[in-house]
Amino acid sequence: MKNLEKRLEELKNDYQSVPIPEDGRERLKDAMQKAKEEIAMNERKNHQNKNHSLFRRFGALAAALALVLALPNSNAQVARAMGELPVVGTFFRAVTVRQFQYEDEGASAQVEVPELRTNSDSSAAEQVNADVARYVDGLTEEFRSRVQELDGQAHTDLTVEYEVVTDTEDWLTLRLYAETVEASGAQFERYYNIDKAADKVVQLSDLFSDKDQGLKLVSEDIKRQMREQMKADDSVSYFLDSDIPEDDFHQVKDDQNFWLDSNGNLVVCFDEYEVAPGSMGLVQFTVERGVFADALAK
Amino acid sequence: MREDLQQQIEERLLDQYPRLYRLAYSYLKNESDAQDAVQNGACKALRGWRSVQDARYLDTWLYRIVMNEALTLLRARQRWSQDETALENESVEDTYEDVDLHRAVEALGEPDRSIVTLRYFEELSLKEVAQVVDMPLNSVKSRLYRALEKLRGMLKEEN
Repeated sequence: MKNLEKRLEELKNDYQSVPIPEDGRERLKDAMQKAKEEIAMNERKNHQNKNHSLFRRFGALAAALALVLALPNSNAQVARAMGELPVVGTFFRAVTVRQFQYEDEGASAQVEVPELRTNSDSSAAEQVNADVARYVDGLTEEFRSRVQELDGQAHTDLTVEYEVVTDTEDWLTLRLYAETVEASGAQFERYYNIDKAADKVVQLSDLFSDKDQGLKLVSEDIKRQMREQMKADDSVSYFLDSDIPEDDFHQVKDDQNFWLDSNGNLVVCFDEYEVAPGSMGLVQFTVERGVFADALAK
Repeated sequence: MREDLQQQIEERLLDQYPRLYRLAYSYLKNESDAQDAVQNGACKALRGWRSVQDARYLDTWLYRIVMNEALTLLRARQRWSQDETALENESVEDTYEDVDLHRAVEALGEPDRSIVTLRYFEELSLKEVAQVVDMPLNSVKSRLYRALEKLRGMLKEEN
């Protein structure tokens, strides 16, 4: 018997003499051409999905924020936060510290990076400033690499703005708003809430003495509002009571975006796609203070 | 970045077509299935350009995609061939001179059969084989060694 290596060598010749179909390369070329067209089409469609990665970035940011907090657990503080009791607090001001503007035939960016300035040291302000800077840097970085990638062949826009939505003796809410526009647009917002007296960044769950109870009360009220709105208007749609229960809205997160209006009502904010189809955009629900007053931190 | 890499992938696919086709054919034994395997693999490669970690290994990456595609088709066909179509497939003639060895290689099972095919028929280096089958180099070495032992055993039994 011939040795195995030799026989394998001979078998190789058989293997390699398999005829190659004459039209094989041409057919491969056609198939690849089709695939490329399909890919290009999908990529255009999928810019929306691409933007989802920005949501994840937001998620990470929220998680970073969540790390920060030990909380101002006094009813009086919350009451003050809601503007009922005048307290002499730290003076906060939001200023634009950096601007980034970019314009070429395919892309444009208008970015304003805010910083909170205070009249005395504030670790809460520092923390917010650091988070804002990190987040906006991420967005602009992503924008720059998109501009390079698209190389003038498609349009891309980035807008970042900010606004102080609540500023009472004791409470400050800074809203950061970002919008990216490509084949489709995506919007994000983040609310930074500061308890001035405690000098703390506050997340939603911190408002309550019994966090589970508080978040549940708020969530149930939001669901009630969602159902009411959907009943009243066919064009309104939320992820609730759907055929895909695992995608439904169940409960607000510990670090859900929120702010307190000047009457002490809670405004809960959701990112695009978080609780509703993209066509609904960013959605907000105002939960009356009475709904959760009993669960507030004592 | 994308266009560059896609173009490179395209060029490599066209350049390597005969080898990729033969590899697919060695599993499928049928011209149109082998062509399908290469074409499906090519589309996946173009779509998956992001997963190319190092353009220097483009060829082994393409081998892997086409090999997996061929194996997927083969498995699908084996499921089918449990009914009547079996006859048709088995009538494929074995044109190899050394029928015994050829059958023995086919009987090795995966991934050993692929390792032997890539090493001896495609003449890839062991390192390249390891990249294609996505296994550590040492595992490939020991598998190849054992596969050769197995082949010797099978051939002895037959003689």
